[in-house]
Amino acid sequence: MFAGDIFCCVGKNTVHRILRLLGLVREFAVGWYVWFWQGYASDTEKRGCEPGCYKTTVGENDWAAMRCPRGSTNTPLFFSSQRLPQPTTFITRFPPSFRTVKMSHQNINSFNNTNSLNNTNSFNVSDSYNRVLNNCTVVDDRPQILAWLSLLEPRLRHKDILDGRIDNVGKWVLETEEFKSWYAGSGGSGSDNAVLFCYGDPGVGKTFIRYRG
Amino acid sequence: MGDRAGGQGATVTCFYFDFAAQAGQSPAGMLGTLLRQVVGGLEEVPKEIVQAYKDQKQVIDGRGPRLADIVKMLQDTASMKRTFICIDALDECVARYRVEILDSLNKIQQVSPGTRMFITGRPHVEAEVGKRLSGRGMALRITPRRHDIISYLHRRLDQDIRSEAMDDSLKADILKKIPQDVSEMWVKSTTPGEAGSSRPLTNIYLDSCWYR
Repeated sequence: MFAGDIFCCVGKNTVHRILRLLGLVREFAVGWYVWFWQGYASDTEKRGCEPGCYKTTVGENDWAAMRCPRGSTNTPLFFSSQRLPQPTTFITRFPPSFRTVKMSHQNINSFNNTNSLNNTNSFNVSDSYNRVLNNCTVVDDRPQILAWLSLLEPRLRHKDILDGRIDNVGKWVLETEEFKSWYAGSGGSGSDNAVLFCYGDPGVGKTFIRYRG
Repeated sequence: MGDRAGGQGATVTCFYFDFAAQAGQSPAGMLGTLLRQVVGGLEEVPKEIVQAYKDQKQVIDGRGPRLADIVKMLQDTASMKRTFICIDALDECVARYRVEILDSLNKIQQVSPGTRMFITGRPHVEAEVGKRLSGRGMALRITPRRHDIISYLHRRLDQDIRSEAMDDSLKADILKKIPQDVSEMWVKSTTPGEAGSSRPLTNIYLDSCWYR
């Protein structure tokens, strides 16, 4: 990382997301948060976060951010930046396809010229004050909202059970008329047989039913 | 089921109740977990949920979503996409929580009738499930089947770390006698009017087989 270099951290489906940022897919872009700031990769740390989750502190002199309000007719570009009132920490979950794209100074142009997007890896970063922004990261509130909905983690139990399951054990359940009727109704609007309650004494294998078709 | 339904573009959510974690598995926590799984499968977080999240941030220290809000959100999101809700070990839920949860599931079902719910539990909660879910479902008794037991025994024998104690004769004996004994026990324990507990007679080996 060299001071003055521009890099952009982009998430899953890089091309699509960049298109969103550039306003080429405007309707998909609204409702997203776009954060960008000055700083370096060293500012990003993993400590205290789950795998794939990065925490970055943005100082009071850093540049952030704009929200693209749902229904906005403005292209969700970067030029409504405002200073943060105080150092603020953002936690961002990057998907596996997260990567860093290094930008070249010679490609710095105005973002307003979306036609300059010949290559999604070389889109340009500057603000309305013609100031180069060193870093920009695309994030939204999705991880925070999901965590807000519930902190319980059934995934761990689910993984334990998956590990303990054996293919086709309990297959007979899925071949019963009760199960077929219940499952087939899932495409319809009727609520008959919408619930299948499988009961049995402890240890009969209710939890471990599995069928791989 | 998750593989099959998920492959068809449906959302499959699951929750496992656990005696050891009863206190923390509140109705709001449990249904919030289901909602989180549904939302996690959507391209975008529905605007109502985003708004609710923002609203709560205005409260000092924030607060989690309320049960009524979660139910409403689940009603909306389950209507957007075919949704399966799988709940394991309902009998391990705190009794008063169970009432709220079943009533909430009933409300979701009323608004989103295409939602399918797959619930497991011990027999004593069957009547409660039927009552609270307004008779929308069926009950299916789960019993161990001979070929399932044999599959399980094969797996356990393959994983046996005390291989020096095992030989072909003992292995054949296990594969023959245990499935036979289990089948007999289940015939006895499930025959109406039969004296004794409805709980299957278990020996140590079977306990290790079917309890994890």
